[in-house]
Amino acid sequence: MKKTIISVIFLMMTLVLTACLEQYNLEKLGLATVIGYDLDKEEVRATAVLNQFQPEEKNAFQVVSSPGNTSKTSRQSSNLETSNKIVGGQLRVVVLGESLAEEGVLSITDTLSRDASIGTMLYLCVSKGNAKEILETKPPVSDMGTYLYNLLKQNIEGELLVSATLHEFLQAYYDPGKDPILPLVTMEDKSVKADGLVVFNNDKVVGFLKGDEGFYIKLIRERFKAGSTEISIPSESVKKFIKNKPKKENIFVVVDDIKSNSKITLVEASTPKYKITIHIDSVIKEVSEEVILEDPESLKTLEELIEKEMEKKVNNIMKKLQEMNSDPLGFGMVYDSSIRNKKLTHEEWKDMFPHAEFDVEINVDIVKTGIVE
Amino acid sequence: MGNEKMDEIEKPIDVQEWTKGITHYTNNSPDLIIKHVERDKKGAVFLYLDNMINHQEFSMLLLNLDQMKVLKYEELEPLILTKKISYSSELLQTVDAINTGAVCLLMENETKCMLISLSKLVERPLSASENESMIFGPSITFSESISTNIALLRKNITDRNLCTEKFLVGERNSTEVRIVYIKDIANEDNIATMKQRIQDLKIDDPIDSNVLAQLLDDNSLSLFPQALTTELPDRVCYMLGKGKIAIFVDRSPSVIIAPSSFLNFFETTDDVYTRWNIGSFLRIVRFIAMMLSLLLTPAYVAALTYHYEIIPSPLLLSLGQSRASVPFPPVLEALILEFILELLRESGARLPTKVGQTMGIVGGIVIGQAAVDAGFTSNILIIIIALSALGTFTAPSYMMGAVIRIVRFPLIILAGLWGGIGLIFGLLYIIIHLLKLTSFGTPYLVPIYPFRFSDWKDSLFRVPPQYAGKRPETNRPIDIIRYSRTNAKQRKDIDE
Repeated sequence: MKKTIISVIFLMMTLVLTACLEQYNLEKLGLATVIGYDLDKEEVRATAVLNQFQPEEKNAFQVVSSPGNTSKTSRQSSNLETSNKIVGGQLRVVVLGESLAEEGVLSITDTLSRDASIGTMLYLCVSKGNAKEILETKPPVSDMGTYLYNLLKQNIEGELLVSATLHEFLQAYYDPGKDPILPLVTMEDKSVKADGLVVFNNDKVVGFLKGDEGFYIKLIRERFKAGSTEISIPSESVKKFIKNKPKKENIFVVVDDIKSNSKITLVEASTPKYKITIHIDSVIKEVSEEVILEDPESLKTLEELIEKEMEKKVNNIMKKLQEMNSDPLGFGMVYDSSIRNKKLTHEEWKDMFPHAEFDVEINVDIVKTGIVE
Repeated sequence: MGNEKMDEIEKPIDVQEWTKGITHYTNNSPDLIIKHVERDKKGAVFLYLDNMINHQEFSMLLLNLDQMKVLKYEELEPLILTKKISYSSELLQTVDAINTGAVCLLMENETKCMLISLSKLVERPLSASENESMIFGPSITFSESISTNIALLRKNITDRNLCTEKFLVGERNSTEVRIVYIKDIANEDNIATMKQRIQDLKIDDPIDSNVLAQLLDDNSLSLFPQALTTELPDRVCYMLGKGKIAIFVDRSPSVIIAPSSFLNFFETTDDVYTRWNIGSFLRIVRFIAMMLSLLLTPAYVAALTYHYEIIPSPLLLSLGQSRASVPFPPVLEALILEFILELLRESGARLPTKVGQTMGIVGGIVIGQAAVDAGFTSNILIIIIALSALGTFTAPSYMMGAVIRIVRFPLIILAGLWGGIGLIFGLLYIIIHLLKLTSFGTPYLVPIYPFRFSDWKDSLFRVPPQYAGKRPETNRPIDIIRYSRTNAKQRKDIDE
């Protein structure tokens, strides 16, 4: 009996303690769906798009922006600007301003990863110019947070952009043999769009890659399916297969990649020297001139020309990356796993990477030329 | 030995004294009829309650008596072929018999009285089930008379091992109770437990089988019913075939089936009548419905009060917008709406059928658009509440559905106080309770715990018949095979 009374009293006490628990009633929250960070003089300026809930309005949102020495202090001062409490649990995208990204973004990403309410599956991207400008524009549909999230998500799933979640960013950052890579978001005529990639050296932005270069980055980095790229071939080399007289110097072939496999092997450790082998099963989607594709010989020539063009592009990208001393493809990881008894350090790899040599071998198989046949 | 001899040469009963005694003990009932008959200077008296006996049969009896010259019990007996006859030399026992519709015949110079059971059957015709509805299968249900019910059962089971043991329960209002089982299937330990519990019961009146089930429970403090009650004869037969024991109670149309496990409350014979894959699907649907109705509303409360992060972003806008106009916190909102729904259900159950329709319309309007328009609740909650209400009614046992409805309330409060943690603690408490619970000594959560995979085949889901040849091991049946697998696999074609 005594035991029961004690347990009942104990339960009652926990009931009283519930007042200590902080409640997050959905309708009283300002949910930040996207936060942008810029460098404002010496301080960090955080800009957030907040979802506000109002019975009359379907899409009520507010943009708040305030500077602070750390991202948390700027959030506190932003809280003074809004009627609802700002919370980050529904954060989907973080936009890093160009100015900040060049100075280093670790303080931001580190804070984000520490916050338990923020998931590590949120997307990171770098904005050309200030992030604040991008967040203040009104997107064609819904709010900027959802718009940016869907923009990045659909392009990553469509294999146009390299996946860049907070988790992947931190993994690349902390791995000595790899550097982070993020999508670039630009504003053009008051509309926001993804435009190429940004490569990092440590946590600082060192350079940009154009949109079609992203295709090759993906090609080397992972097995992937269903992406497409345009390749230009000099008309002269395929002259005999073209029905009419070519109009331009180059013909353009759109190659749809069905399935690809890439393999990076360390051939020689001292230089170091790598061999990159890529096998692509592809479909010819579009050709700017009328080419006789039925002829097996023409396909073979096309395959060879495409291979050559692709190899050239990959070599260019590698050279570019080496100049920036950024290794988003993780060659250092390959090195580290191939060389035993030695732990690769970050500094060592930064010294080695610019001197690395690459032997690129691309094997293109045209499996289909269209449904018409 | 000496005593027995004394009984045999007992004094003849005094007719006048007995008549007086019976009148006294029936509390001078105005219905008591005392009829004097005289034959060869030998007096005889018939005593009976006027409205309790079948008059047609009684007059036939009297007609037969008229043709007889001598009045003697031995000569009388062959005349009454079909009716039950007993003898008594005790006054109180005689009174009890008269009260239940017997005609008492007293004769001079005899040591005992003759009791002829001529009771009039008071019952309704057998009708189709209203409370437990089925799509396939027989629709006949048990009625309030135990003799009809046993007859109905015998129609269904011709097995000669069927036992229907009779007990009388009730000190003041003694009621006939039958323990029914199939001798070589049901486990003897279970039968012994059941018999012992019924015999030990000292109660005025068991009233109904549902009351008896509560009296025989292992844990009467628990919310969960520990014995299944049903009014469908085919369900009883199905359960008897699984090695369970049924208890019939006079005056009650429902039959107790014990020991029952938690999963038994979700089984219907409908699952058995449909093909195995459809049957399995229906059962799984029922479990999912139960989990949904238990967890959906508390999860809503927890998510909206504490865990806004887990709300998927496409839902976020519409959820937040409809919540923005509600003046109450989510706990209160959910509790109010759940209460309104319970109100509707209860009033629907109590209302006379003539006004029932009005209630449906009123309810539909109240818990419909009007509540949302008035800013009383969010429309997402209405969907959730409606879904969970539907879910509780999928349980084939009304008792189990009611339990799920009640358990939801503490879970909502826990979710409102401590969010997801509170909800998990509440669920854990329920699971621990279910694990501890027993039904007539058998674990309640069997075959999930204690784990008996072979029994899953006919509880959580159904497998094709050739793989379900065995009766559930849980009931420890003596004869475990009900269907030979090798025979099942043979298919004979006439052509060959």
